[in-house]
Amino acid sequence: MIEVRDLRKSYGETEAVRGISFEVRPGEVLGLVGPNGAGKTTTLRCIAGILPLTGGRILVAGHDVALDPVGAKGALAWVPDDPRLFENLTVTDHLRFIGRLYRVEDAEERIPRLLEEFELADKADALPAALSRGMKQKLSLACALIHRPRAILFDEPLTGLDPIAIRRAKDSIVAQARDGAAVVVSSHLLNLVEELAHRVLVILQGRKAAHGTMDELKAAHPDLEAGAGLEDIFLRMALGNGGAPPPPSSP
Amino acid sequence: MNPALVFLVRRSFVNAVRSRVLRLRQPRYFVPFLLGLAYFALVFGPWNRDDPGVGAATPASDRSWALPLEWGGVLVVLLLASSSWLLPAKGPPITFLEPEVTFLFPAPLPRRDLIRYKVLDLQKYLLPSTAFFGFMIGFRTGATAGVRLFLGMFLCLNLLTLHQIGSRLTRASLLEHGSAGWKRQGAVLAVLATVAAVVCFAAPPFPRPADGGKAFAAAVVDWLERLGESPAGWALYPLRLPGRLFAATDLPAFLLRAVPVAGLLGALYLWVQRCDAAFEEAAADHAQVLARRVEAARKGRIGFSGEERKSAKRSPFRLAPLGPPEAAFVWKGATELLRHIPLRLVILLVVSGFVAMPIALGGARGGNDPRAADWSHALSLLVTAGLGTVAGFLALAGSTALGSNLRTDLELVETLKTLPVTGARLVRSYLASTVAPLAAAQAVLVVGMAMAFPQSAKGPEITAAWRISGAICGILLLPMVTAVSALVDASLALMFPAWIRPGQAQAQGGMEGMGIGILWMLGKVLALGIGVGIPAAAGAVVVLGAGLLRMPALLPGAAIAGALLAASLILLEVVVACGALGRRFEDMDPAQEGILS
Repeated sequence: MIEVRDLRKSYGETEAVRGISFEVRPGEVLGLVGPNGAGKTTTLRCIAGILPLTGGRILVAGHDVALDPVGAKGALAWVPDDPRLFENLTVTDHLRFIGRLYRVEDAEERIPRLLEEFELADKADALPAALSRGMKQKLSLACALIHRPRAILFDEPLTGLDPIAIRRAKDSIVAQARDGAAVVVSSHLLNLVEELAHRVLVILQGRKAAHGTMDELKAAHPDLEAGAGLEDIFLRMALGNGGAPPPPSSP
Repeated sequence: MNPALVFLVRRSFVNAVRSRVLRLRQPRYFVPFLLGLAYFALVFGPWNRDDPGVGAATPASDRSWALPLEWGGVLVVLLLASSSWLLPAKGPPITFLEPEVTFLFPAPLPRRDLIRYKVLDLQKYLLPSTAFFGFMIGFRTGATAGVRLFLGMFLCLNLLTLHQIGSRLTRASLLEHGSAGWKRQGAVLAVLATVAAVVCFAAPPFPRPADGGKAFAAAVVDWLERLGESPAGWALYPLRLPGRLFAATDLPAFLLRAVPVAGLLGALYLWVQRCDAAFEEAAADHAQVLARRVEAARKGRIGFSGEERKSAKRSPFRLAPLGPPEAAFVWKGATELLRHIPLRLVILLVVSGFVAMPIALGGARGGNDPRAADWSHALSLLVTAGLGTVAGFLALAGSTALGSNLRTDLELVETLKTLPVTGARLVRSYLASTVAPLAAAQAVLVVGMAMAFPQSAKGPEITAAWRISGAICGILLLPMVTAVSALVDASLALMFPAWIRPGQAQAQGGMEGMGIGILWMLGKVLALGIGVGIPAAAGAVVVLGAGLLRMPALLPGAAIAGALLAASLILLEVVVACGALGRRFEDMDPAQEGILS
């Protein structure tokens, strides 16, 4: 569903992404992991068609993002970490507007269900200025799901959500994958990625450092303890000194 | 004062100047900077300086100007000072920005240090602005005039600012101690009444206007001089100080008069420092409002109060789930415009229209009673001109000033780039969303104009056919002019997003801001000149051709045909331009352009 081949992206002299390739199949959740500045968001933005590629090729639902962006975007949903909303459109207006752009025939029936699902029903006529950050994030999620996308990109999807909303968002991600969507989740919350993702892609300094299921990643580090999780594996790869983070500064 | 706060003010100022200077290395900032500089040089340059002979005799050097200036200053100072005590204060006593609230309020700093910091921080704005305007304006009338004007403005603005802070802090303190507003206002009114009584009692008698205008003016100047020397003049001495500064004729006299002003400034500073009102909570609330207002202003949204709106007005029409995306954007634009325009303004305009139109229509028809006809004619002329001005404003500046457009929404580039529409279609949709609501308003205005256009007694008869033709021509052409104007805004946003800096912390300003404004204006004039001028000429050819047939009855129809041709040609240009801008949108790298962090 999502196919990334030798993706390269440069900002002037700086190479942010250096030849990354991976694939996300329908029904699969890929966890994207890496330290700040590793190139995770750039990779997601390239897939979403926000940033032009410097090199490589991206296919979404068979459409080349560079050659047929409209076809690719029609199958895709993008949930940014910082929800950006139209300040003069209400919650319902947002869903109606996005529904129209993605030609969602049953938008009017889906809107109340999405409002209910994301606990926005009592805020249906509120403007973004009257919403908390968590509510804005919920609206952003609802907008992403209204057109039943076949591929979904989540960039830090749980930022600003309360525990109940986190649970619902996680359930929603799983449900989307179960319904056949290819899902990419970029997050610093490694336990979340471990819980949701079928496969994990670790990016370090713009390069693919590891890619596989949790079992495959563990197998690549046999020296780690039996109960080691993604956090241990990631720290081992990122720090390269046995996985020990630098000591905290003394009080 | 706490050295950390001095460091904060100093480094903020130095870094702001440094970043502005450093970015001039990029042509996109350097070109507008040069243009802005050229504009200022043209307006305020040495070649524009007044004749030295005239400059030597500045108005302030003349007693007949100096004394009214000094006493006019008294009235201004009295008005400003008393209003800051009498009028209700909306904001907090001192305004802080969000980062200041975040870092300084929880810091172990006494309240007095926060006040001192704010007073020092104010100099960061007062010093450059007064220096700039002082030198630019003052140097036109002599070398030292610039220095005097700069120092005079700097001292006076500091006096007023310190007084305002002090009065607001004192009011907050009085409120904290349970003193009701009417008591405070009563006290201020009592002081004002006492001052007025003292002035009336101790002032010399005011001259009577007996011997004509010039003699009376001279008598008033004499009276002002005697007033200054009387006990009333001495009682009002602190209020005379600012005016006396500007009335100084040379630098030594100015410096001499600046000494008591500096003393007054010191006294006000001590007073402000000793105020112990709790301003933190109000300042923190206000900082949030201020941040939203600044953000809205940076996005080009004029008139946004910064206050959160909890509810929204309804959309003008229901958006069907299927159909072209252009319609969705038009719906969005109309909805946003409806929510942007205050209801009170709409009611005022409608009521004004109901009152003025019947009388104006009388003028448009002409009447029998000559006096009534004159009034009616004048009013219909006024209504026509008013409606025409509004329609013209909407065509030339409506796309920038009202509602949403690609320029204001470029901050949402992340969302816009993921929408399943081509770049050309997105630009076209935005253009339609900007133009459609404005076109609807213009149609109403144009019909009003056509109906109210006055029928002159001596001029040719304006038949119903001409009125209908005029209205149709306006309805066809004005939206096209609006579209070209909006296209220039969209081009600026897409070609030079760094000039707009949507959602970025540092807004454009100074010389670059001026240069960008000039370039934008030039772009608009050029686009309108070529993009509208040529099609309009083609339309005019049609009308002229019909005129050659010498059949006047055909002319209104020919005007419509000409307007239709011109509108079609402009539409074609707009569609082609949208295609080019759409490709630019698709190729644009928002990260490289500095729109995405």
